Amino acid sequence: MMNAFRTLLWLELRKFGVFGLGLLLVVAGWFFMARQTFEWNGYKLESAAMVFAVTAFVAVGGSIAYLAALIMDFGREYRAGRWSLLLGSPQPGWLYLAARTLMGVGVLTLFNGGLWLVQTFWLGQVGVSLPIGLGAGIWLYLLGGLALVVPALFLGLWVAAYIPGKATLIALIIGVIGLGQVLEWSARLWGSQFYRWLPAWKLPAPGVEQNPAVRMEWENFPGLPSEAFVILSVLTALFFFVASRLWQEVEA
Amino acid sequence: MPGAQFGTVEIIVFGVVFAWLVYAGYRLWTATYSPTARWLGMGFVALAVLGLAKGLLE
Repeated sequence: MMNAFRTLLWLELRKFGVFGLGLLLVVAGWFFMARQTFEWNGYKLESAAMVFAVTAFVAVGGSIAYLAALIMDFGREYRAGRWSLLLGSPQPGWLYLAARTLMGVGVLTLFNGGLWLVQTFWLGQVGVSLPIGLGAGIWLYLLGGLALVVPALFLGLWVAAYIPGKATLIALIIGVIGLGQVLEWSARLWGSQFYRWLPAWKLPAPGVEQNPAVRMEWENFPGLPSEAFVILSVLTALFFFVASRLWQEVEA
Repeated sequence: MPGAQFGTVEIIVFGVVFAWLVYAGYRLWTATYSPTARWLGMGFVALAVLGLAKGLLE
């Protein structure tokens, strides 16, 4: 099984390696562009704000583009008839999806981590330090970013489970609405339980705490509810399971 | 808004939305061979209907 996993990972690398490399080239290009921004505009706060805004935009845009490519790849594979080939092998669906998840998470982490480094480096050159450090950055990234890969895989398989051209647009619309509804209902049903069972997570950001202007606000901030992350990981596992079932049933 | 009054326009608009959801459920049921996808589609449509109804009634 380990050998099969490595083969599947290799397949992913062949398919998305160029995309990932392109994203890393964007990071490298942005490193020099950020430098030029400071050179032309002067080393001042406005340039830093500009670099910060563009970096955030590039990070979000690149991540969304990669996730969209991941979704569309399911449809492409399905039409090319490659699934029947893979299903002919004795590998379970979840192994295949695990390889895709690992590849997606790896590429997105390299991309966003690279952008983070570029940003920290150039803002540091003008003496601007971000209010949150590396630890808080990783923490927030895990919070918002990582949980996106499995829903993207699920959405791709969900649309691909439909006969091409018959109800794919309806499936996409209902899939997006349904994911939103699942999130909303789980927040609604469990919302009153937040902050009750598990200790709240404080944001590890000592830089913010030292600022006297936000000190009072900060002391009132109870932290983020740990229950939300437990629910999010349960939902992620659930959608991973459903996606692997879909993958195995689609050719039936 | 409990006991809210709906005008003609609201009734028509939300009627169309609910009808479309039913139609989408029918299409999602018939356009696949995967049983998981079938029941998942039903669940998603039911959740959407519930969410919309809850939004309308409160």
